Amino acid sequence: MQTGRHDRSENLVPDQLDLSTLEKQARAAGHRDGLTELNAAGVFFLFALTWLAGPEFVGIAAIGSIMLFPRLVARAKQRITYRRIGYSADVAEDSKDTARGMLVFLAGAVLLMAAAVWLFGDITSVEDWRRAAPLLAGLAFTGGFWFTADKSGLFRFRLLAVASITVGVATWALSDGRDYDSVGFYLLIMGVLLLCTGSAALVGFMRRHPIQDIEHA
Amino acid sequence: MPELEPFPDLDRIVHEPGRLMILAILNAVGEADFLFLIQQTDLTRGNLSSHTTKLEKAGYIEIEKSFREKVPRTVYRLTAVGRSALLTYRSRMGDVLAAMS
Repeated sequence: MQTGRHDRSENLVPDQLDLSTLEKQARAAGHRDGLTELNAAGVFFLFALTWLAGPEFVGIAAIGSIMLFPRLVARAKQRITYRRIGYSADVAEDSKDTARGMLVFLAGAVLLMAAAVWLFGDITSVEDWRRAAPLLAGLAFTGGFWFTADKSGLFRFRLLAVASITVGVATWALSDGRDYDSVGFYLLIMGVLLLCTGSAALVGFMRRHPIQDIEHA
Repeated sequence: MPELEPFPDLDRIVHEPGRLMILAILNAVGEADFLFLIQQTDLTRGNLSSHTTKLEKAGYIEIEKSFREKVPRTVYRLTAVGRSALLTYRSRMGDVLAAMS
């Protein structure tokens, strides 16, 4: 039964199809609902609170993140996203690639820091490494945000990457090196930013995409 | 008379724009349901059903029908054969376009 929808494939020949853009838009669709950021915000807040309470509680945050948040996100996607734009699988390779990208970024940052400290400071100074901890965290997450921006094509992840390095530098500059609390502050600030961008994205997404009442084939 | 270079055979199943879009999207996201493909391709429901049936017959996609909370749901997944066919098509199409320029 015709719905009046214009079938754009009727007037196309294959070499006119921009497959790269099509694939990128398909991947981006899964991130437009803002739930990626809201999930990350929850994880960041949980780690920040447990970190500031005492690094020995970080294990609780890890367990909570692994067990609780994926289920919350899956539930939200079913109720909000899939009813509006349909279901697509989260490509598992993206998560592995993101983790690999972050580790490579972090390794590079650690090498750079070690080189800088070796040239200009004392590599054995625990205080210097404590001060640098939020900067290293910022650099690591910058890699993750940048990778997500590349894969999704969404500009707001580039902004988050810039914010991550900025907040990392700021907390490094303000740290006195006596403890690791600056890492907790980095996580807290980034959690707030992620909550803001994720919420704005979710509201915009729900406004642009009404719930579809479509019969499946 | 100029000699005509024989162009490599293009897979006619993949060559159709609607099916090419479906394969490219499934290659990007792994699997997707009917609503997602409709939204991404702008195909009509009838055309999407027709194309996915042809792709399934060719062994390029798998179709899984189920119910979620009493609502029918159809999920499409690219097979290894389908991924290979898509990659081969892209490579050959690149050769064809390069030969024409």
